[in-house]
Amino acid sequence: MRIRRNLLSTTSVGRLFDAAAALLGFVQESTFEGQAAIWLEQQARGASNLDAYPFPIEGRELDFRPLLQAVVSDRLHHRPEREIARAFQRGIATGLSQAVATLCQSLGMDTVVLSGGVFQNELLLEDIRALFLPQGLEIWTNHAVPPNDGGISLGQAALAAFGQYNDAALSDARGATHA
Amino acid sequence: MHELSIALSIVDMAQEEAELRNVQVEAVHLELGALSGVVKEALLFSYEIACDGTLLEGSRLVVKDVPIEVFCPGCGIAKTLQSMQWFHCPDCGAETAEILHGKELTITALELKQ
Repeated sequence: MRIRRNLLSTTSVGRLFDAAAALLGFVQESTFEGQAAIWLEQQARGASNLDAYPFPIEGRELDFRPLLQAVVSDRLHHRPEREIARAFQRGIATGLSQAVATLCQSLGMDTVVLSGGVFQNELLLEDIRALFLPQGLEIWTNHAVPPNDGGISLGQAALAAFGQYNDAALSDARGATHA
Repeated sequence: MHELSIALSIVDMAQEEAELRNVQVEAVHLELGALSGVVKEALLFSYEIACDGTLLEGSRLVVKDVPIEVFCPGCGIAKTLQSMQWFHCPDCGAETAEILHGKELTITALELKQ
């Protein structure tokens, strides 16, 4: 990782799902984004273990290294793939909800909007809901608009329209002062 | 909506029907509109893994793509759009937002094993 060659930085949690799926044996070529994550979710659905791999907050960031280390370690100990997938998903849910709860506390907020492609994962949402419930946090998720690329397109279009509207309002206002 | 959740409910519905009628399903036929918000490749992949360990294991999902059809106020008839980014009549150019087809996500038939 120290040699910055053939590496891209990313902020997408989807890449963590890709990495975990690959470590669990999903090594075929993906034909669409989210394929590995779908596979992983379905694996996780087949298990009922309650443990969560560690996904701790370090400073202002969630550290994914212990999470993936746990996947590797359990894989080496021949733990069933489904259980590993489940513990990985629970780890993501636990880490995220702890980070969100900490933020909400320091900012005095109680409403959380969850969006982005990863929240198409219903199992992950279920886990997060269960973790948020006792904390009294209200969760908003996508309903009318998809949480992934479709929603991003709509947001971009809305921003562009809003920008145009502002430009028009601005030139109207300028015209008014000149008149 | 998520393709895996959709695939799981398709499998559930087909399985329920198969059990009720005591038949084996060879294929599930589905109409999928261009505006359904579902990625076909993702749905096909999800269907395959959703079938694992169920009565439908090994069955096929046959997807019929449904294009976007709108009512053109200029021509006064239904027209098929070539692009979902351009809601104008391909012939007269009139703007339209009256969607007649393209949002489908419908199971149309179950093909049975002999």
